[in-house]
Amino acid sequence: MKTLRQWMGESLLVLRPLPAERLAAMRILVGLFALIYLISRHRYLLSPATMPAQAFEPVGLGLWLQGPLSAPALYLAYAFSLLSALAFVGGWYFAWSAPLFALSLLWITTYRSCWSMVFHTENLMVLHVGVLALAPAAHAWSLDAKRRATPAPAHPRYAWPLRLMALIVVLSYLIPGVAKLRHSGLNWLNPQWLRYWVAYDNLRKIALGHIASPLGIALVPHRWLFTPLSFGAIALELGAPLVLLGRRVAAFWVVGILVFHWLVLIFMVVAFPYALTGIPFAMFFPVERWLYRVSKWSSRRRAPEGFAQPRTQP
Amino acid sequence: MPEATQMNRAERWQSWLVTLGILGAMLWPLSWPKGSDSFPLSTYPMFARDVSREPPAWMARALAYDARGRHTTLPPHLVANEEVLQAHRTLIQAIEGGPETLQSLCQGMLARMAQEPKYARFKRIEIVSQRFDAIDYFSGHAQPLESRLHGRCGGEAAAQGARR
Repeated sequence: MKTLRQWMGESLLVLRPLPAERLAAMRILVGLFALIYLISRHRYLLSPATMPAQAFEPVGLGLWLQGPLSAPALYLAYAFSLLSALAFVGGWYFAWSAPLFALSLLWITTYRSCWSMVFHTENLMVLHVGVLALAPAAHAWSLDAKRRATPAPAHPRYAWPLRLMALIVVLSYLIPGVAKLRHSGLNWLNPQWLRYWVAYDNLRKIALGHIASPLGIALVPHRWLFTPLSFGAIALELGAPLVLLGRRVAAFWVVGILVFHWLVLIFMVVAFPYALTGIPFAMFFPVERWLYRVSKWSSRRRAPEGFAQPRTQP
Repeated sequence: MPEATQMNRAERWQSWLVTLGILGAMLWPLSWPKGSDSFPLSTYPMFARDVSREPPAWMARALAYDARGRHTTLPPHLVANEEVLQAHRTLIQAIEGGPETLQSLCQGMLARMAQEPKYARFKRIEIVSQRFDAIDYFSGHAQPLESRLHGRCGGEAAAQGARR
């Protein structure tokens, strides 16, 4: 029981005072990832400007549109998302800039999904940015924080957004598991399910002149290999709620889910960039200490202004 | 003055409203009909399909032919954009849209292909649907089980069209 209490003491389910720097670290990491993602994927995000109008199949916010956006409107929305991303990362007038960034990111990613294919690789990132935008995530390590007279002390107000981000991670993996049970019942537990998906997805890539995975293709004839892989994937999806039990359980699950995403990339050439970096799972750990060490190391043992050492480290 | 360790009433309300609002929104798609999808709320239905029980899959493809009749598959960026599934969907929509839509897409692909030196020797494009068994395909049976030609453009196709 003592061990269980110790574990639960570290669980994000229990709201306790946490340093403002932990939430700020998540703002910086998630915001930087989103900014780099927007820049590096600009060709894809802006490709709807040249897509034929008949391919427009609106989803989500896009349902409010009467038809495709004009190219200048799309470029303008994209430019706005970049600028607001910079303000979000820097924590500049965060109360305004963060919601604007969350909305512009939601808009630009939704619009991309309005063209015949929904990009589920972006769901978690968009939801995490949404939570951070509605949280006091710029009370430390930000341009706003520089204007404060005193540094923000540890407080439960910095814990609830992290708890919510953790619950979003849990649901993001649990819901697909539940959906599979609804769609296909217990046949989902058949290890051949995964084998068919690896074969089908690689065949589709070959048929459409895209790069397929040589390793995934080489595995398909070996039925037995898919039994452990399949049960591992099922355990990770249905076992996601266990991460809420505490940091140690979370560490096991996070390692497992990172391996899962890297295997999906290797066997199917399907990349979930946000998950592959590990950033969406960072709030399970004292990420502010890691970020502080990195900043200290990068500035040659001198913390840059605005990157003060975290005061409390629960 | 001692530091506050509790959230005030406004903070508590904010935390619960945002938490319940977002979690409720995430769970909402579970009440949608099977196969429904959206963004960023979803049940990820594309991975929920039981493909192991489905018949061999039809796949729409764009094949480019050279003067000797040798062919290659046109990559997604010459069909629509870099995304495989968007390119696939574009082909399906063109097939479903009828001959005019199909010709329009075919001519567009031909123009894009002409701009890439790698595809300089290919002069003709055929849009086809082919049926494959995914498992068999990687077990030494790479030929399509069935093939349907929907339309063609360029090279001889244009000449044939002119003769007609």
